[in-house]
Amino acid sequence: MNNRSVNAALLAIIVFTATYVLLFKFQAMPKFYPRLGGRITFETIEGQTAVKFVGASLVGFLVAVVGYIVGRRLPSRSGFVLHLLMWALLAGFAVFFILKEGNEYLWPGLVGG
Amino acid sequence: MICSLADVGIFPTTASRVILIFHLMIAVFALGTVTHHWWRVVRGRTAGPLLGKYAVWAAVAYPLSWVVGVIIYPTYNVLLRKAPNVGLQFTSKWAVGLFEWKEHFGTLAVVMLPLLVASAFRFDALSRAERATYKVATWLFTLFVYYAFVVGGLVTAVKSF
Repeated sequence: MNNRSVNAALLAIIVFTATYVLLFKFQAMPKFYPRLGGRITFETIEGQTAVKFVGASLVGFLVAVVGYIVGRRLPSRSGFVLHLLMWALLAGFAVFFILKEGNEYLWPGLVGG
Repeated sequence: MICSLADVGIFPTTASRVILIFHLMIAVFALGTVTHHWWRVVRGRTAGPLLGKYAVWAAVAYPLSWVVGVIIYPTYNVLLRKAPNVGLQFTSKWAVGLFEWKEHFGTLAVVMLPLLVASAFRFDALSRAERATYKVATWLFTLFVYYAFVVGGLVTAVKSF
């Protein structure tokens, strides 16, 4: 385990997944609201039109860049821990979003039409 | 509150269609690069510079496709997904769920690219654990990109018919 770029990329994934999941868990991401005005009209609630995943992605990417820079300075022996952490967090990421979106949209949609 | 939509982030329907087709074209390009990279890993053809080059092309094409997708995302979100009574959220909730997964795993795929590029260029110097991680990450990345492509097409089809 002596590849600094690989270690840096691993840390970038680790901090991204952790940040992205936490932002969705606590709904703490910056939310973009498409500005309203123009021809097409219908009733809408401002909170419903928030583009949340873009905000979470931007924060996540920013943190990932910092993680990458920090990761290049890590000692090479940290590689094993980084590998373990990354796979654990990827698994957590997958479980969190599969359950979250599945329970919110997919399963009710399949059952209820 | 009665609101009308357009100005920032919400494109008129014609513009949205043009950007959607552009999104599709880049996605096909990305699919090609991703498949080439994956195929070399699967066949074990890791020697030489081609593996790294395919990884770089994937790192160019896929984020580009992601960015174009983000540009039309507000239009999808407001006009297709949440439009009262006729939006996907009311007619085909399952499609929204599949699309939400596409957003999350598609974004994760972007962040996996530095690992793939760094590993592809230095494959010979990688340890066994790093090679294993690279191979599994390549499979996952390819799966995410294919999933995003298929679900994007599916949601477009659901709203088209």
